[in-house]
Amino acid sequence: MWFDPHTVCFAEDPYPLYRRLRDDFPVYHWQEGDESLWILSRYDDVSEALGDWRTFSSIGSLSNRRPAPGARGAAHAHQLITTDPPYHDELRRVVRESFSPKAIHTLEGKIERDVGIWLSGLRSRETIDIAADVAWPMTLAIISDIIGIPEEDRSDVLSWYQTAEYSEAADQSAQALSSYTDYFDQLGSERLARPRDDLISHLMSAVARAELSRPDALVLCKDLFEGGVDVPANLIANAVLSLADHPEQRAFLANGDVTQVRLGIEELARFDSPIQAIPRVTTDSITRCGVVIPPGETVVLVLGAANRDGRRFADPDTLDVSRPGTRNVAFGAGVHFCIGAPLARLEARVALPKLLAAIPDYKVVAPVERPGSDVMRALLNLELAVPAGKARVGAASR
Amino acid sequence: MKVHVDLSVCQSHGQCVLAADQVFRLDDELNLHYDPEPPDEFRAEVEEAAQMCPTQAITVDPEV
Repeated sequence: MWFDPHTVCFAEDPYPLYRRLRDDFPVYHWQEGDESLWILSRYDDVSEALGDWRTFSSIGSLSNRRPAPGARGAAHAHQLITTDPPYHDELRRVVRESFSPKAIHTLEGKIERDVGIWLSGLRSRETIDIAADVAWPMTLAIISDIIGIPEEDRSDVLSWYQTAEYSEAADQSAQALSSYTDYFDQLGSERLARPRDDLISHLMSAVARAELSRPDALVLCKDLFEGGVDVPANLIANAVLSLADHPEQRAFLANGDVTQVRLGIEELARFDSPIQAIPRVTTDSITRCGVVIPPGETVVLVLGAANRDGRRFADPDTLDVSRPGTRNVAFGAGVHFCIGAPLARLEARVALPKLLAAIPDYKVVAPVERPGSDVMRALLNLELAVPAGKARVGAASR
Repeated sequence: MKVHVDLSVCQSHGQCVLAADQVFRLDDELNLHYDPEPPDEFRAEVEEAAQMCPTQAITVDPEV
């Protein structure tokens, strides 16, 4: 078996495989026992499928796969990623104002201060775990503020989530999952009784007004937590890894203006996308490259492969943070476009230049290990060696 | 060609700007501005923008 959709995303380097899929098997049919998956990997095919929710439905798209922790054991709850319009839009409408680019924009000053605090903890360190010590705790703090998770609970909640999502030990994972689920259930009840000005109170008041079911509200809240911590943390950690061999591009980002950094983040998201693949289910028979995919089949859209397609991006395997802006599919597209994209982009845009200014020189300490996932290209740890005395915290911020 | 954006639906995600910056622009307050009658040479870009809009707010050549 030269291609296994269940392990490819956390392979050390999946990109040669993706190239072979795009060039030789643009519509690849994978079958093992009763399981059947179709893989689309070219930019145009992935992009068109993302834009066509009627043919490429999200309903039932997770039935073949392990659901994210928040949705496990809540099989009947609706999620943004398992619904289509019109219900999808109703669900999204409840939270979309909280995640709109305008709303997120108002967080910029606060994120800047938070980043400063996280970076000041790095002073005079010789090794830094940029994922576990910076990227994850920073994104955890920001999304927890939005949702309303009290400070003293955050590290527990993150640890339950990471264990439930990424641990290979089934008993540990099950135990963490139950703590995680119970926690949100209790927090929901608490806010239903004593609302505050936070997202979980907002969701629970929609439950009280019978606009949303309680299971849907809690799963939505957990999904927003998971996407809100995992995607930006991995965007930042993957970016630091991608930039390790490119000191001139690090300097460009550390000194770039807002537009340059914004486009640089798009390039980093394209080059090593946190979300590598998302599934859809066909509602009709479709023909691509002369191959017929019947209705009712699971089609995996490999965002990570589409983003490296030479038919779309010149010299796709070269990282170039000054690349002119070209839309990529790192955050999806169409009606299911990542609701947290404005937040992830803002966090990366604020954090990365400051981080690169504080640590202008670093080496990645091998080996880099990625946890198991068939969706996320994740880094829970990324150890950097920083030459002694080179961390310039507070000295070179923009 | 004619382009219409339903600004009551637009969420300023900016995907159209990345697809067709000749036609769509976000200002500093993240309000969308666009050319309602762009030259035909941008048709492919504009159609991509319409297809990819997260809120499906863009219509190309609306039937009046």
